[in-house]
Amino acid sequence: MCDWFTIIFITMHRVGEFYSGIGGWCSALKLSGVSHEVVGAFDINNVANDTYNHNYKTKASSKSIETFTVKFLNKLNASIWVMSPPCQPYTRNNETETRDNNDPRSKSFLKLIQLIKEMSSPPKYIALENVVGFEESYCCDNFIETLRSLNYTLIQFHLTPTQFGLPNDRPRYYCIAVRRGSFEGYQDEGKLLTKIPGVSDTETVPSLERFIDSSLSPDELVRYRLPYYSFHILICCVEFLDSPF
Amino acid sequence: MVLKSSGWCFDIRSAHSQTTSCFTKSYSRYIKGTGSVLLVLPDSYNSSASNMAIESTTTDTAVVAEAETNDDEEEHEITEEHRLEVNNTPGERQYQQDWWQELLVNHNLPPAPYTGAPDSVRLRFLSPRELTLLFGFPEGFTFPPSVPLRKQYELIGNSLNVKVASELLKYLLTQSTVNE
Repeated sequence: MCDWFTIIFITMHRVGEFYSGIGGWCSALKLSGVSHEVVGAFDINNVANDTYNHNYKTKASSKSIETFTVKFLNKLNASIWVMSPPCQPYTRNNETETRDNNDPRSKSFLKLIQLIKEMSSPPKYIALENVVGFEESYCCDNFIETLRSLNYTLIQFHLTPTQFGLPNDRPRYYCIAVRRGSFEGYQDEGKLLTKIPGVSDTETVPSLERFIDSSLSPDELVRYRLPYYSFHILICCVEFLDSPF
Repeated sequence: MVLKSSGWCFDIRSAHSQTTSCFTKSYSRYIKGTGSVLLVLPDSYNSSASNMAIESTTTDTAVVAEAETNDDEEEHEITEEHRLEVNNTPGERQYQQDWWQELLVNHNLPPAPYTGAPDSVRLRFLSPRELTLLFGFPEGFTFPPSVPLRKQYELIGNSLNVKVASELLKYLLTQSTVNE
């Protein structure tokens, strides 16, 4: 009896999902096989939350992260935090003065970083995803410094799905961190990795064919079709490229 | 040259392609730099094409009609203005009825056994369902009927790749030791 309780309560990770969107991290947890329970999912986008609630057991909350308190996070008591903070402030397209930490959209993320510092028991694990270029932002520096000061060991990555056998190029910044711990076979030299240690890139990526929905009805196909005038653009492009490859 | 001055075009992929460009929240609303579009060939063609593609020596059969940037989203809405600009350009040249035949050549695929541009040769956007699968979401993932198509694309474009994230979580949870 005691063992059973131990197994359930020690290995079942409580997860907090911030900026949850359509639940990418939640699906990733399921896929990873890690025993977990999402105890809180937060996003201010109601349409995203509707989709989240439609697909997962946990109900997403539209509570704004800016309004969070230490007390609330302590009570949530999540051992794993997963998050994809709003990425507009960091994209290279945003060359305005409101870029980065001055951007109102990064406010809630800065608040969250501040709150981690004040928590009685910060999460054991943290995983963050963002756009490439995030690593050059003030927000990222702040995030990394805070984690280091709280005894986290962390690894930063640039990874893209084609490395893992999916025919889509989507390079993204990732950071994983463990508190008062270390990673097997990894020395923190502050370098950005382009591979997960011990995981080699998939040699043959399957073709797009596998992902194409052959059951689309003619009506649906019409819905996804590009407008006719697009073909004109196409002609310009194809004919003027020396080597389209 | 036209490419640079007009400044936009798209990334076309066939079913045999082994990669696609990054999909953004503006996919299907804007064309340039928001994600690949799919070349749909007539059913009669598909079967022979897939056989040929396997024998083909090139690994990636995609035609990349891509401009100077890849990841950066450069949003050019399809406006009336653009439409005019676009319609003007081919006017200076001869419109090619069988433009897609040229695409096939660029794909290293055999020419289709007929001429002209049949209605069945099309370019289309990937559907939200196709995108979620490509992003590693489970087969059962769906949008509630209340979410309009445009919103679905937006939400997917803002999402993350589930497969990559799960590999990281696996590593984080199994390859780390907590000293407590």
